[in-house]
Amino acid sequence: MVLVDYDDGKKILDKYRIQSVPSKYVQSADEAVAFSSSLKGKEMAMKVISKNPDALHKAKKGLVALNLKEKEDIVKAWKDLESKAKQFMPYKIQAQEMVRGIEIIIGGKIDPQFGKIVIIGLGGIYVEVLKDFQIGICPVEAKNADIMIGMLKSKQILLNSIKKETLVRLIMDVSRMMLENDISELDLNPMIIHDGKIDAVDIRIIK
Amino acid sequence: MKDKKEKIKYYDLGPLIMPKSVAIVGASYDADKVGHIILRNYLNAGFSGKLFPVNINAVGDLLGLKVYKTVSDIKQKIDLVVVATPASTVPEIISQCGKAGAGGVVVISSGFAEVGNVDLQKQLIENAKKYKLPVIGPNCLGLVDIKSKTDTMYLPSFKLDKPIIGNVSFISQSGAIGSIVLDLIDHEGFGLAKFISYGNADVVDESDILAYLAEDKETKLIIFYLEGVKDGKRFLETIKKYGLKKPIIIIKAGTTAQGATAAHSHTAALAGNSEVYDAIFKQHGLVQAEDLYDLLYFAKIFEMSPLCIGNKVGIITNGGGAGVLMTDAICKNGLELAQLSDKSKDNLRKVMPGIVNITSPLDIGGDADRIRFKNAIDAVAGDGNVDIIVAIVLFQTPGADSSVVAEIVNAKNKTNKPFIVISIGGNYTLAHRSMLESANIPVYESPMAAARALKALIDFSNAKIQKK
Repeated sequence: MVLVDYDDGKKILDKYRIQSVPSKYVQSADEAVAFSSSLKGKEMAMKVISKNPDALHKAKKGLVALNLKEKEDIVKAWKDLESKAKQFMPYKIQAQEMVRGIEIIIGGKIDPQFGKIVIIGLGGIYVEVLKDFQIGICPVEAKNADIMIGMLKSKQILLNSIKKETLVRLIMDVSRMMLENDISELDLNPMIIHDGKIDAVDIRIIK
Repeated sequence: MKDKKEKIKYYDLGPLIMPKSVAIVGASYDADKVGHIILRNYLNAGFSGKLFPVNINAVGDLLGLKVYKTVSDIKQKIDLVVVATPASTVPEIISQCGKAGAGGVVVISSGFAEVGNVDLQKQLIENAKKYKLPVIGPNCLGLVDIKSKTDTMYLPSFKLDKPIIGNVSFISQSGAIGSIVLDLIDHEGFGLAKFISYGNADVVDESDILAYLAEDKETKLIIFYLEGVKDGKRFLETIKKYGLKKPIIIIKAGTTAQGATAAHSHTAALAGNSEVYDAIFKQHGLVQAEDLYDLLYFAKIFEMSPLCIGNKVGIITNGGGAGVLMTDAICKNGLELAQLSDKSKDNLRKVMPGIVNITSPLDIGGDADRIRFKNAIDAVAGDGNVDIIVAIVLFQTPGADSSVVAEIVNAKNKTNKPFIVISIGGNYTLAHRSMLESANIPVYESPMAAARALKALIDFSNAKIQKK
């Protein structure tokens, strides 16, 4: 089990036209401020990335800072994250553009009988509590991706904010990515639907 | 990515499932041995084809038939070879069958991979593949084809109610589940076309059997007990092709234990093996049953009713409480209670006594007789707001007897909507239930089971229409 670094994961995603929000590893508060100004007024998030299993639930451990825009806020958040992150060495701090919208989860894994699969569901409680997600066996064809979306109980929430074709293409792209790469587990959780497109915010690829 | 898909090849199971000549290897002179029982069952069933008992220690006729030492000695066309000899002898017998050009083999014998004899299994597979010979089993009950009177089961025939001929075919990975369901089919009032218990699936697997039955003219619907597929990709392609061609009602055992392998991601934690099965069944139109009774209850409605996409149920009852239970059951399953049109209500008011409240469900009273049933059912069945008719007939009441059965049969024959009956009770009720089922009306004892069956029918019908 090898967890692929975020930036390497992003490169794989790029090859399949799977979009992700602008992000950068930052080494200092100054670099974070510089990244923020490149976002042209949009808000920024910062998070601690560590392979330490205790750092997995970032929000609970206070390893995430949100809604950052002003320089002094960024500097303050940087110091705070740095002090909390020390117990999770080695770590990196990632700055990322903040997007708001509908959260979905897209993932993949290897089933012992049917091989590589793709899942899609609406994020948060829809997937976790209501178990409202659909599974497709790779390669997922357009017709099957269509059926998967149609079978989501929460499909109307999705289709109110994004075209069905965009979702169908995304499922097919993820299916191709699963098949053509050495990936045993994948979480794009969440991907956020905003402004007519879908961006991955967290990329977790396990080889 | 591969653009060209390899076309899946299936074994031709026709000759072995509907054989005109059958060799039974291991046909013992000892009446308690499996091979002997199979031979005697063939004779008792009145199999009209040729029978060749095979016994390596042949010492003269057996049950009036010439006994051959080996399959190779038969030197005539053999459609089916049934093998019931010790496991160690089976691979060699498979080769002999291949050389003799047999249509196919059913290996009843156990003692292969299921008990760790992997080498023996490998040999069996190798020999079968060498001659491209379809082999069902090993470790199975084999098959039943009612029409050709072939039956390879070694169960004493008095211990099992034999189904009559019908349009439902049944596939079972387990022999024991196979015999239970076979025993119960007749009690549910429908008939059997073919039964195939396929055991270890070493050569012929579930996809071959599904594909064969999906193309079989005598099979209208398939019921299927599955523990796990042999080849996932092949199975997926097969149900993609055939999932909606005919109803496939499936019960998948082992849906709770798996999926516990270490998960490093949300996805892996969510999508265990049983969730994957569930997804592909749903996406390809397979109808899932949760227990063996539902398998039978669903089969009954698919066998006896037309497909139906409407979900509005018109209920006629001669017992208020049962009407309410049925209403609850349909609503819990996502169906709706039909509201009768004003015209139907007016017509009913003219013919019903004052004590009958013209509402839904339509309770025609505990004293309802033949005429009241007839008038009520005609009005409900003819109403455009009604997609499905449910008649609740409680035979404990004074007016409900075989004359009501006759009216129901008449009414059912006049409509092309699904029509089911709920009757709950003891022997008097059971007698009338068989009359109704003989007339192709599915009867249920449980409102909830009936509602689940209706939902299954509607779900499949919708999936089939959407695919077109």
